[in-house]
Amino acid sequence: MSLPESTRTRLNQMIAMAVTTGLAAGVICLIGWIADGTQFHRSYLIGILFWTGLSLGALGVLMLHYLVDGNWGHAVVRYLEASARLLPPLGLLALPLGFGLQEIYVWADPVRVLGDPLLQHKLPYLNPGSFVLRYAAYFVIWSTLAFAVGYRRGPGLNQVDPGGKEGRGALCAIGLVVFVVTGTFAAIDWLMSLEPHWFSTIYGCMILMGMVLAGFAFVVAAACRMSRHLEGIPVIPAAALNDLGSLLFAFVMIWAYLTFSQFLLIWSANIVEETTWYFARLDGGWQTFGILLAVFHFAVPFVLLLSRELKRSARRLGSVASVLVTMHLVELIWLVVPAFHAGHLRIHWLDLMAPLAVGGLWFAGFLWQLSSRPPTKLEGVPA
Amino acid sequence: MPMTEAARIHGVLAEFDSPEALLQATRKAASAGFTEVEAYTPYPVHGLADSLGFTRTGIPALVFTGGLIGCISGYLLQYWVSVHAYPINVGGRPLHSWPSFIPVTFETTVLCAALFAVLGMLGLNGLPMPYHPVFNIPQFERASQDRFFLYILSRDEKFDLRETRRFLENLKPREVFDVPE
Repeated sequence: MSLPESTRTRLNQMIAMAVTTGLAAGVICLIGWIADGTQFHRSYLIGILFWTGLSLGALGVLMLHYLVDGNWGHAVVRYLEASARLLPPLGLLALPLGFGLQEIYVWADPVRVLGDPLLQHKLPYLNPGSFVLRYAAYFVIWSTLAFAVGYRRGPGLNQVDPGGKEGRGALCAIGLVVFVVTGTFAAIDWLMSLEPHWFSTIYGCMILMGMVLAGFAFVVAAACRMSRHLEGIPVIPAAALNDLGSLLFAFVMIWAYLTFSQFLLIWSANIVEETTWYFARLDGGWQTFGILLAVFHFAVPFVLLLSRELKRSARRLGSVASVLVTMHLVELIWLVVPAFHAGHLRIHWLDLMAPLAVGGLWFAGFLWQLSSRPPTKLEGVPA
Repeated sequence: MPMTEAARIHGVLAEFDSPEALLQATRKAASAGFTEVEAYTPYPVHGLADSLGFTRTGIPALVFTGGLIGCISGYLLQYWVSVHAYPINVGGRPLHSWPSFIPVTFETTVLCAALFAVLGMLGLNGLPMPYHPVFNIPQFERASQDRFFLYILSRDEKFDLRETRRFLENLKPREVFDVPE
C-alpha cells in the first residue's frame, strides 16, 4: 500500500520541480498579461484546454473501465483517477479567462454583435452570462463524476472490485452519456464558437475523441515511465501493456476517422460557409500543422501500434504515447490560433508558456494524487 | 508388437477430464522433450498455446501483406476508373481527387486484411482436412463436448510406442489410445 522511502523522496522532488516550473512560467505569463492582455487570454485558453482535455479524457476512460472492467484498466486505474481528480482545480485555474472573454470570442464583444445579424440571432446561446453559467455547470458535473466514480466504500484501495459490486457500473453508464453530452457542448462553447459563423455537427465528437485519446495516452506514458523507474510501483504485465496499446490504437483510429470525416464532408460539399474553416487552417504555413497531424497524430502511431512487440515493451509503448500527447498540443494550437490568424502562421511565445504554467501545477497535482493513492499491486489480478 | 504395426501408428492419444489436467500434461510432455504434440479441447484453454510452444504464427505478416495489397489496389482501381477509364468532371474538381478515394481505400484495406486473416488461418492450419487419424478413435468425439485430449505424433523424434504410451499413462489420463494411420 505505502511506497518505499526512495520513491517518496523522488516523487516529492518531482512535485517541487513541477510547482517551481509552473509558478515561474505563471509569473512570465502574468508579465505577458500586463504587456498584451489580448494575447495572454488567447494563449491561456490553449493552456487551460490542453490540460482540461487530458483530465476530461482520463475521466471518460475511467468510467469506461468501471463499466466494462478488464485487466488493462486495473493496471492504470490509479493514474486515470489521479488525472480525473484534477478537474476541480482546473475549473478554478480557468477563472482568468472570464476577464478576457471579449478578447477571445467575437460574440462576447457587444460592438461586433451589433453589426452582425447572425451573432444577434445566436445571442440567446452565445452570450457571456450563459457561457460562464455553462462553464461552471460542466466543471461541477465533471468534478462530481470524477470523485463519485473513484469513491470506494467496500473493498480496500488495492482490491479489485469486478464490475458494479458497489453499484458503480450504473453510475458509469449514465456518467458516460452525461460525459459525451456535456463534452460536446463544452467543445462547441470553448472551441467552435471561436469562429461563430462556422458550424460542424461532428465537431463535438471530434474534439472529445482527441481529448480521450490524449488523456489516455498521457496516463499510459506516465504509467510506463513510473513503473520502470520508481521502486515500489508494480511493473505492468506484458498482457496488460498489449491491451493498453491496442486501446490506444483504437482511439487513434477513431480520432482519425472523425477528423477526416469532417474534412471529407466539407471538401465534398464545397460550400463557402463551411470551407472557410479549412482555408484558415490549410494556408499560409498552417498546412505544415495539418501534415504534422496526419503523420504523427495518425500514420506513424497507427503503423507502430500494429506491432505486438512494441505494445509489449513499456519503454516503446510509453514513447508512442508521449508522441500522441505532444501531438494533442499541436492539434489544439491548430484548432485555436488560426481563428485569430486565419491562413497566416503566427505562434506567440505565450502559446507555449501558458500550457507550461498550467501544466507545472497540473503535473504536481497528478504526482501528489499518485503518491497519496499509489498504484500498488492489485489483489486478484492474474500476472 | 510387430514392427509393421508400429510403423502404421500415427500417434498416441490421451484423454483427460479437465483443462487443468491437460495443461499440466502438456507442460510435462514439453519438458520431457516432445515437440510434435497436439492438444484438442472443446473451448479455448488459457495458456495452452504457450505450453505447446505455439508462440509465433505467420498470421500477422499475412494480414499486413493483405492490408497493403488491399490499400494499394483499392486506391489504384479508383485512380484508373476516375482518371483513365471513365473521367467525369464533378463540380470542377480534379479527376484525381484523393480525399474522395480514402473511404473506399480504407474499406478495401480492411477487406483484404480480413480475407488474408481468415484464409491464411485456414491454410496455415492445413484446413480443410477431409481425413485425420484421430477420428478413428470413437471417444475422440467428446473433444468437442467435455473431454480434453493430448496427442503425441509418431513422427516425433522421441517417439517410441511403448515408452510414449507409458509416459502418457503416468500422467493419470482417463484412457490412452493408439491411433492407427
